[in-house]
Amino acid sequence: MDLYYLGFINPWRKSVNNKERKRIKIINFIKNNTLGIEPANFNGAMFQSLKKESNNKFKHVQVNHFNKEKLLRIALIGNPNTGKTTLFNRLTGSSQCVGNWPGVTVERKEGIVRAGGLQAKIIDLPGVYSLSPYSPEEIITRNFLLGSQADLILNIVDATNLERNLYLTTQLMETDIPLVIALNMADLLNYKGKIVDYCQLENELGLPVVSISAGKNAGINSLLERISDFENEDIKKNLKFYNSNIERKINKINEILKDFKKEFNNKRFIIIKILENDEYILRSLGLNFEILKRIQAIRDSSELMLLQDEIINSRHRFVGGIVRKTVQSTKKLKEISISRKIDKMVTGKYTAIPIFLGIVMLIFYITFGPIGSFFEKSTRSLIEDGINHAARVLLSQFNAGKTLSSLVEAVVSGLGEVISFLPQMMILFGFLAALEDSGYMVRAAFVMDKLLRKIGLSGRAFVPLLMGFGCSVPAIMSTRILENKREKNLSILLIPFMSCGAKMPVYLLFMNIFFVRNKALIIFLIYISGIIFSILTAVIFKKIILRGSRAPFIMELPDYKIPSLRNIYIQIWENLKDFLERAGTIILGSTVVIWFLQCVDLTLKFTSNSSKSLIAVIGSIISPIFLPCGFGNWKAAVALITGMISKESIVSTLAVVFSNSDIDLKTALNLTFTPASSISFIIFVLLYSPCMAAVSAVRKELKSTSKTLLVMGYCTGLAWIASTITYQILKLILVG
Amino acid sequence: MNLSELKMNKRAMVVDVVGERSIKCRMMEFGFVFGAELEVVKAAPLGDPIQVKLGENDFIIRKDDAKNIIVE
Repeated sequence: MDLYYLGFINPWRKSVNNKERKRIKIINFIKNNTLGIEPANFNGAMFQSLKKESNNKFKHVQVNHFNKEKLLRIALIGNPNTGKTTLFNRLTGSSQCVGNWPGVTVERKEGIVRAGGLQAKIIDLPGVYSLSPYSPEEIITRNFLLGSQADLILNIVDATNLERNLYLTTQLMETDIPLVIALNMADLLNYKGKIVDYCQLENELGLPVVSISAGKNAGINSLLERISDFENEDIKKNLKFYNSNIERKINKINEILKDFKKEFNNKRFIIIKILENDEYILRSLGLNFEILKRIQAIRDSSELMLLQDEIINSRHRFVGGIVRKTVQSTKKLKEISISRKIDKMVTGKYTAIPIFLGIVMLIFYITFGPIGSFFEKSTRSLIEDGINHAARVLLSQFNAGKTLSSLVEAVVSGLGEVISFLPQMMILFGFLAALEDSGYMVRAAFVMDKLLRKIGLSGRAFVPLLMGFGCSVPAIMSTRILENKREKNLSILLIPFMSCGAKMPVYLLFMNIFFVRNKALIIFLIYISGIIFSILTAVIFKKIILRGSRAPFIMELPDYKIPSLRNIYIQIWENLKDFLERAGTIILGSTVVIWFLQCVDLTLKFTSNSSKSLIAVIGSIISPIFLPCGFGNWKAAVALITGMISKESIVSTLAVVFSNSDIDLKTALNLTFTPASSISFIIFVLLYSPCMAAVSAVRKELKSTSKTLLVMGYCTGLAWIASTITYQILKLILVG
Repeated sequence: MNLSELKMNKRAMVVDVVGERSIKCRMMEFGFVFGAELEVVKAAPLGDPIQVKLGENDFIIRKDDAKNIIVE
């Protein structure tokens, strides 16, 4: 039974008072007491209430033999761009799992570390600069810490950027949670002609400091040792940030809270937030009017604005002092850094936009050009000559019936068709990960901000939009970084038009039939048209979506770094895993369902004539809608319906309904589609209602079913109009 | 003078940060505090936002927001 997880026992808290100790003792007793013997020497009332409490909680808890009581919970916290993710991946290896924060949908990553005697769960918190309540990430991080969900904070600090990073550290120090500092990238600082004396830093902060290089996998073991040994550290936090005036006020508020018997953890942190007039904290404490009035009086004894400024200034002064004492210049700093030099071109007045387009086109060329096609062909031949062949041999060996053979054939061709485009999807994901890792994304935000502002967004929205080219689901989730609600809603509406990786197989399938020679160019144009439609949408909706509160546009410009292969590999692997999971469930499932519906007629009897099958009937009801778009046949209609579940299913469904033993998919498609109708079909796929996973992400983020339905309806309506226009125009051009 | 009016490559010192509380606090937490030295490195290709060097760090900031930072 896992009492520790219920928040009953926290063996790593040193400062447990007697009452608490007794509580733990009783709980341990209840835990081990399987015979139901009433203890004589325990306080009766306390025992009864705890027993009741634990019995209620235990009802829903599974017995778990894994020793979770030894599992230390470590919160990994740091500024953005400090190598936090790299460190997390280093520590947890492949044992990570991704979930959501309760109530909100910013990705929550957790992983298990097992090293020596240490068994710990690491929770990767969103990157933050501070613990003020001004951004969603800050609130998540703060609530996590204040909810005493962490036994230890692992604060990753970028050595090349000590001053900014330590500002966050000062606030972490004000909590009651033990803190270990991982000083990352100290080796990089040496290139800048500087050196950090981390022993001195340890003394100045009064915190354990371990110098590591997450990228080069150095110092990780010493870090783990220090973490597992943190209970025995005998250094004391240096909390002397504030002058006597502020300290006096802290004491006074402490007294008031004592008067009202308000007891809680992380007292110093909370008191300081009260002084900063942090309404979020004030509200969550549920203080009564009288306390608030007395607190107000203390704050008012100096000017409110000045007090807040003074607190922030004090932290900066404290940090500044430490940096001066611990960082020494070994040689004269080179005037212009490498990043500056690169930026001369990358964000230069005349070169920035050509470079941006160049990078995008290069990615396209590699993904869809000769290299990507080579991988696609290899995978395809592996599936067709290998697996498909093997399946046929096996089936004939075992004398399998006609039905089974046809099912196997359908599954192999359906899934195989999707999987053969997998290498190209992975290449694209790899590039997106590399771009993100290199620091280019922020430059792109810098360059594009003014353009995006014209459509009611900011440079910040650029990253989620670009991620949409990989997969809409994480892209939609990442809109949470947008503080402005209107910008967020607008981005969510636009992301589905950023053609996601799962739509790519559809394009490639048709390109390989109708436009073999200009494949890369036409696919590029398809992606561009997605962007054009999103701009159009933004212009339409800009006025309709209500204006949110204004958030300042200010971003840190990190130095460039060479993308780490390990991070790219992990990103690709995560996506691959996700894809395989879907292939095994949704895509396989929909393939089998489509196959079944194709095999039976209206009376559910098996039929060999697929045009009389149940699915043909269903498809025929819908297909007239698509007549103006040029693909008014039931097979295309069915594929589009399964595409509502997942976009990959479009290709697998096409493979099932079009191909049979007499004719292969390519030939069958060639007979049904024309170049013009294939393009209009692609345009429809590009724009119409997002897949199930994306729809649920939209629903979660917009927190409104009607708005979600509006998004789906708008996308599908736009898709119909756009593909009709495309078809009618192309028909004239391509025939003429 | 405010930061948006500062000429390119001219060094200046922050004297005050004004404006709405949430915006002001954000700026101050980034390090735009009294006495901090900064410099406008460049403007984006389309003229806005601007890149500002503050201490060891570079930031990009919209001119509208830069107006809240009073420099000397």
